[in-house]
Formats: sequence, C-alpha cells, structure tokens
Amino acid sequence: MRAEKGFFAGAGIGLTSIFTVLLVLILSVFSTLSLFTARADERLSRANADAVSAYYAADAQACRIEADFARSGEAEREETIPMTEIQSLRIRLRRASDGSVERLEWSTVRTEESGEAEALPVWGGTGLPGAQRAAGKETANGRKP
Amino acid sequence: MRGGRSRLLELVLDLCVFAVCALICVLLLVRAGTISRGSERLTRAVYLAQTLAEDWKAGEAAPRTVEEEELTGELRETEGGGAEVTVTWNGETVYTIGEVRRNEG
Repeated sequence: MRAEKGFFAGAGIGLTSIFTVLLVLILSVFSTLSLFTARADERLSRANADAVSAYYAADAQACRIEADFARSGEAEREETIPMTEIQSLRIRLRRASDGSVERLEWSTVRTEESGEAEALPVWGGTGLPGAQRAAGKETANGRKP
Repeated sequence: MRGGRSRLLELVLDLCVFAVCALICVLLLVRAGTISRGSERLTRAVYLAQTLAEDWKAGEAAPRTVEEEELTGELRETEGGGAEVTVTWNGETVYTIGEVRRNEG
C-alpha cells in the first residue's frame, strides 16, 4: 500500500501492470523466437530440396554424357557438371580394353572458384601476424603507400 | 473509493493490453507452426522422392506409387528413357524431381 502511494501511484502503475508487462515481454520474445526458428528451418529445407533437385539434374546429364561416351570412340573423358554455386558433379570415364565404359570418378566436389573466394583469412606463413596487422593499419591510415 | 476505481481501471487496461499482445503472439505462434509443418512436409517429401528415385535406379519397376503418412510419392517413366518423381500432399504437389536416369554401367 505504501509503495503505491509513492512513485507508481501517480503513474497508475501497480504490481499487476508490472506483471502484465513482464508477461507480454516474455510472450513476445518466445513467439518471435519460434517464428525465426521456423523460418530458418524452412530455408534449410528449401536449400536441401534445391540441392537434391540440382544433384539429380546433374546426374541425369552425366548419364547422358556417359551414353554419348560409350557411342564415341574416345579413350577417356572428364567432365565437371555444375550443380549449385558451390558444388559440381565430376565424372571421369575411361574405355576398358574390352570396349566397356569404366567409371574412374563419379562424385560431388566443391567448385574451385567458390573455395578460393570463401577461404578463411589464415596466416600464410610469411612474416609475423602482428607485424602484418600493424602494416595494414598504417596503410589504411595513409602513413605508408 | 477513488483508489478502488483507479485500481479497477488499471486492471481493465492491463487486461486489454495483455489480450491484444496475447492475440498477436498466438497469431505469431500459429504462423510459426504452419511454417514448421510445411518445412517438415517438404523434408519428408524430399526423402520419399529420393527413395523412389534410388529404388528405380537400382532396378525397381515403374510406374510406382508409395503412400507414406499423408504424402503420396509417384514415379513414372518418361519418353526419353528417364523417370520423373512427384510427391503430393492432399493433391497438392510438394516436391518434384524432374529427371532421373539409370546408370548404364
């Protein structure tokens, strides 16, 4: 009773209001988090579905290449079929001595360009990392060309 | 009397604020549940389609229809010598693999 006559009494804020605000905050946080989690799950599912579709499209193309190779008189063929931005299907075929087609490789590989672009900025092994950082800072400040 | 009335007003206001916020939160939760069920369905559809495709590649006969819980997977051969896999849920297409080919080797 005494507390209500103090600061909160003028503003019309009691214990129930404080509880309501807390409850609303908790509800909002949990419901927003659930929505974000569900959206993240959905993105992941779609990415998985797209990757599977891309794999089967590349696999079908590789089968056609294999059939084409079997008809041709080539001794060996190597192809890389792009699947997604970061993955490709690499096949390597060779003609055996009896004329049948032998598969040397039929695997999903990481696309080389993407590997270089997303490489982590690790220390290359020349010079000290501290010295490099200092040199970079100086260049950024325009002290050194 | 005056204190009692202001307390009642506060309670009513609290209830209104809580009701509005609870409604919004329930709507958010329902939406999250719908999205979650959709993504679960898509993932299961992808697994079913992969199973059908790999079975066919391994020599299983076509056409083939498989029912799994609420999903229906259907594989049928196409004119070009390949196959197509479609997974539906209540008549609605959830996932499709456009072309599957058997390995000749």
